[in-house]
Amino acid sequence: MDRSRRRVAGLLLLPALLVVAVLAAAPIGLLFRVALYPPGPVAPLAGGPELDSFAGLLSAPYPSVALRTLRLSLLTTVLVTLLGFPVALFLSRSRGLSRRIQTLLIVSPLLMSVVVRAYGWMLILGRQGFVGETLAALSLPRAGLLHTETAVLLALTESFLPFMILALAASLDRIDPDLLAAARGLGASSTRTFLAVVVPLTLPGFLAGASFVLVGSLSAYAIPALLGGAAARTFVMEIYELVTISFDWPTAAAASLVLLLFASVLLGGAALLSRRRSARSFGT
Amino acid sequence: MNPRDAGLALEGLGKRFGETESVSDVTLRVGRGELMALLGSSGAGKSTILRCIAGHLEPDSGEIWIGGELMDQAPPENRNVGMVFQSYALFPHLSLRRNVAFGPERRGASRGKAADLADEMLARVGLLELADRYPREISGGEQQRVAVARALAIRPEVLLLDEPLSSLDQTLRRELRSLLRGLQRSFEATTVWVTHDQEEALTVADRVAVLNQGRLQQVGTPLELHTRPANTFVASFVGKMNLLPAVPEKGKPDTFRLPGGPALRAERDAVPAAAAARSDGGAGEVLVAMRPEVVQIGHPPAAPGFNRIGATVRRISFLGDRLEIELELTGGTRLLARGNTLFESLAREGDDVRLYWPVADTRILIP
Repeated sequence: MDRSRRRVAGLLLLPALLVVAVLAAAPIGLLFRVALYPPGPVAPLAGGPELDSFAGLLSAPYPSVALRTLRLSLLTTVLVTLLGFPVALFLSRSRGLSRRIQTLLIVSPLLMSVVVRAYGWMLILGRQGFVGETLAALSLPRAGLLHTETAVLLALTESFLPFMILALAASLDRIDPDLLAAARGLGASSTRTFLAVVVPLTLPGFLAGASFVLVGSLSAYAIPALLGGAAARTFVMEIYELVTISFDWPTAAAASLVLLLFASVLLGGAALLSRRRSARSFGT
Repeated sequence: MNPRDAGLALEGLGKRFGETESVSDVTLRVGRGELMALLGSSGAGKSTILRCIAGHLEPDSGEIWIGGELMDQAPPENRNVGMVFQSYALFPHLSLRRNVAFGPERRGASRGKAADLADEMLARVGLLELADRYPREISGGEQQRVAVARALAIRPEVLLLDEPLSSLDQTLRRELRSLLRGLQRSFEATTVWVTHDQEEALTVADRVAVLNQGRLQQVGTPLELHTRPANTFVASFVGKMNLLPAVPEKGKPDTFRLPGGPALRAERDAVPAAAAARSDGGAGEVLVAMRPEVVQIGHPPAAPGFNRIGATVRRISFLGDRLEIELELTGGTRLLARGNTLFESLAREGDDVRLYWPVADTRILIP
């Protein structure tokens, strides 16, 4: 590309850059500004600038909440991958009408609000719900999974599964069947072929799906709030309460920026991995 | 050849997909170290046969013997068959070295030893310096050579090549053809080379098996196919063949008469039994066949042993190193003659000329 074309390209990018600047960069700048005010309940948003709001995040309960949030996000990603892979494999081997019906079934939960689905999980997991009633019917002590970290993990996994399945299936579709035949002919068993050829070649789909699931579950609100409650508080729930209940906006802003940092690190890691592993073998 | 002594033997192989019979009753024995070309147009069943041999498809009937062992129940990984795919099927996530080392590693070689072997194989196809590259980073011709190195790295009993040169340009094709032939000889691998290109099949193979609609038409050396085609399909698929409809002469099993024209002769062994039989009953058409190369223009030498016929020159085209002349017989049958540029001084378009060719080069085919 010569210089004048480069300049035209730059000009054409300008509107998009402006939109990003106004809608993303400016609010983040504003968050920084708010985070630098002295924190506290019903903070007046005056004084400072100081870093007390960030320092406050180092004390309880924030570190353990951050840890739980990251743990949930990573575990969700692991679970959707493990559960999604066989489904994606099945999907990518189907053709025609059967494939369209399967795809429809896989994405159909997304047509429903995540809040409605969370209520559905409450009915299933509650003490008076399916789990509790089943236990009672078996004359076991009535117990529920509601308001536990497990409940949040289950519901997050359910809600992100379709994305991972579709991302993995897209990658699986692109695998030339001759590659599998070649691996078998060279002496690899079907299991070995799966591990040495199929799994590595789905890496691009896995990374795309994982980026989405990691960040999505990190910032999920309805599911942790409804299913975890006080027993399994996440970072986003903390931020919500800082804003709406204790009116501690400086701490809420600082917490938001930390969450943003987590997301950026996770996404950056995935991007780095995909560039290093796949640029040469899959093209960019 | 007994199936146990053959490098590869197919015994009555059959495979159908739903209603269509892709391969029917194919019996083919390839000697150890022999290069057999499997020639046919697309849809003739060539790839189906290859996939059955490699174990990726299960035949409906028949037996597959590899290196003297009955193998049709064995999974692909136990057959010791190296295959070069039309798409090359190199693993995109592995370097060229790891691609070639894949087979030896799966067969128990340590990673280091497999890598050494891979380097040796890459050196033999002249690509050692690219060992750390990935398949996407090299050209089609180079990918093809890696695919061959990978298939031979397992020292296969049988090497299968599925249209190995079809996606390469003409010059590269010639170059790789001789490289492949050289490697095949030095590894003494029993080889099946699938192609739809008759020139490729005839130049490269020890023997050629011609396939049409899932059925084997003829198996023979390139020369045999050219001079003694078994039927009209082989005759017209392998090079060009003039086919003149004729009727057997009563009581003379080696003589055939063109409608309203002269009688033509063929040697007894060039007349199939079925055609000879017709000379008794009279009726029933046969085809008098000869290659355009054997047809001469002018008066035949005084010696006997020539067929002769009159024709009108319709078109003369220049083929580079020789001329092709299209002629028309009385009755409208067309035939071709090919020869050196001397032909030009003998005939002009529209001329009536005399043609002759040796009886020894005349074959009789059943339509």
